[in-house]
Amino acid sequence: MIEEQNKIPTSKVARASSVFRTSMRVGANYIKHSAQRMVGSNVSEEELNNKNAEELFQLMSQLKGSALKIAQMLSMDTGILPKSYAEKFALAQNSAMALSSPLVMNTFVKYIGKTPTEVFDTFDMKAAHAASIGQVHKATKDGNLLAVKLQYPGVAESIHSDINLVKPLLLRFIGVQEKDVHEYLEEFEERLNEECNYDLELFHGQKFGAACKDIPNLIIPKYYNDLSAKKILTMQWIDAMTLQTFIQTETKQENKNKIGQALLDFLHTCIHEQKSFHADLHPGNFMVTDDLKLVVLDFGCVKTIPHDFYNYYFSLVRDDVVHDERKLRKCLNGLDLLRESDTQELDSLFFNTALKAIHDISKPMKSDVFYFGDVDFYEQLHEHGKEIFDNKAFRNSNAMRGSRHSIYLHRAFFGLYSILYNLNATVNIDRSFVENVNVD
Amino acid sequence: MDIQLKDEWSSVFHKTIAICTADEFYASYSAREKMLAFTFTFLQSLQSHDTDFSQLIRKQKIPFLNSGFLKALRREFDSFADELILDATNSGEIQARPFIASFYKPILWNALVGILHFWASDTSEMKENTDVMVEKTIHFTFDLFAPNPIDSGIDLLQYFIKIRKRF
Repeated sequence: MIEEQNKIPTSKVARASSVFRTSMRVGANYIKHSAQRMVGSNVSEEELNNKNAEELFQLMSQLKGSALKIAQMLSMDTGILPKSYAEKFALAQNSAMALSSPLVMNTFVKYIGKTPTEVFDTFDMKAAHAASIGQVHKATKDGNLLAVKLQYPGVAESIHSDINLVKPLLLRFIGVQEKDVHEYLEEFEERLNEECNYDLELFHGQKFGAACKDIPNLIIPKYYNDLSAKKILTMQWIDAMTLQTFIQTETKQENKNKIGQALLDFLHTCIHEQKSFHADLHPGNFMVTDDLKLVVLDFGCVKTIPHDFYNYYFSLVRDDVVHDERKLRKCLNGLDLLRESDTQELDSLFFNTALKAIHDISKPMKSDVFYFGDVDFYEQLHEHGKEIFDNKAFRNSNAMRGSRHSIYLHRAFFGLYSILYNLNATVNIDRSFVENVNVD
Repeated sequence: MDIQLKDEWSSVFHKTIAICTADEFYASYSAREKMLAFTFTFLQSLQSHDTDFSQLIRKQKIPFLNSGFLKALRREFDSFADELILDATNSGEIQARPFIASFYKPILWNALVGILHFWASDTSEMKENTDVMVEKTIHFTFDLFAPNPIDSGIDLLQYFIKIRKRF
């Protein structure tokens, strides 16, 4: 599972050339596609996308580190990426290089000042798991089983150059100008930088641990301050199966509902009570214990929502806001979906699209019990996403729309919905937050 | 001044070897890992020493030709490398190649000198870039030493020559 380290093309030249290779290939696939079309052969759009996804996936998995993170991020947003890409990228987790044991030692001596065996009672030199920016070792101390996460050296420094390398390819692929998405890329970079800061992750882990301790069937591992440092994070080791395995093997729907409920409660508590949330809701970050408790891992990617944005966004769930055009416009302006400078035509286009999108997306939040296995619900979301993606008027209208804060919020909801879909879960929705949002 | 510095280099070297051999895992390491452990510990010891070794190294303009000031260190390192290469050859981790094998030691030495120069001018946080560089350099070096397709190719060739002679 863990590959040897000498295969990773880390030098800038190697990275650059593999990006170049892939963009050439994606280009070539398009040419092939249009040529085949001209001679009348019937090649579907989907087939082409599959081919490109394969190439892009190859590239991303070679780059590891932050490029992999970007790939995962895109895989969440099914509206932007065609289905075939999203499927590929969802797989892109948990494969990375393994640190040699001398380097593991070296990292400990550097950041904690002691070797692992001096710090812990036992320490397994062989990594138990690999993640995109680090690896996890098993250790014990004072009878406690611990998971010790070590960050690969040089990851933090390469984020900026990774983004710059992947950028041209992505921009061409999505078909937008850099200046239009500048703000979003900045947001990506900010989150990725935070993700490399284990001090911050420790802080978030402890904060959410305290905030969510009353949620039934949810476990947030305990974090150990004194055994952690900037590139080393020590937490409680919990024996559990991955969420993916649980989804595939569990047969009782009532158990699946239980896990789905815990996940939804977790996200809602974070968003509505803490106003900051775990923004990396992919199945790789969750586990399920034998006694059916959901374990939340990895608080590296946490997004804090500004007060104004929160109110604009969640007011849209209120019927009285959606039916009051003045309030509705205020929200949409606040979310940067409408702009004062828009022409009459653009304004009505965006207004109507937003109205439709709100209607779809907020559906689960408008009922007390929602069945997430409903295929129609997702088809509709996907259809509208595709409609927006395919509509030239959107691409040509000055710049992308939507506040930068919404990227991660959408990502979290997409992540939540897709896990709940896979669980085929029916869950109760606590709608008490609706009373507390307002736009005036 | 010069004589004193020679002593400093050797004292750091001996400290490094002492730390390595005291470690419970070190004895079970492969040659590749031993070299990695040695290099990381060596750089760590240089860093914690009072003398500013990095400034000293930076003064040397041409890295490899001008490493005469490292003579004392080289003598010490050579005996370390001798043992490492001998052990690794016996265990089959590195290939005993006629003639070429005599260059293993100088190659390792030059890898170390290269690393030292990189380290001396590394401005990344906690000299993290050097860590990456060390891993890559030493993996590369030992991949060269390890039995590879060319060895089996030569072996095959030799076999054919032998067979031909008999027919």
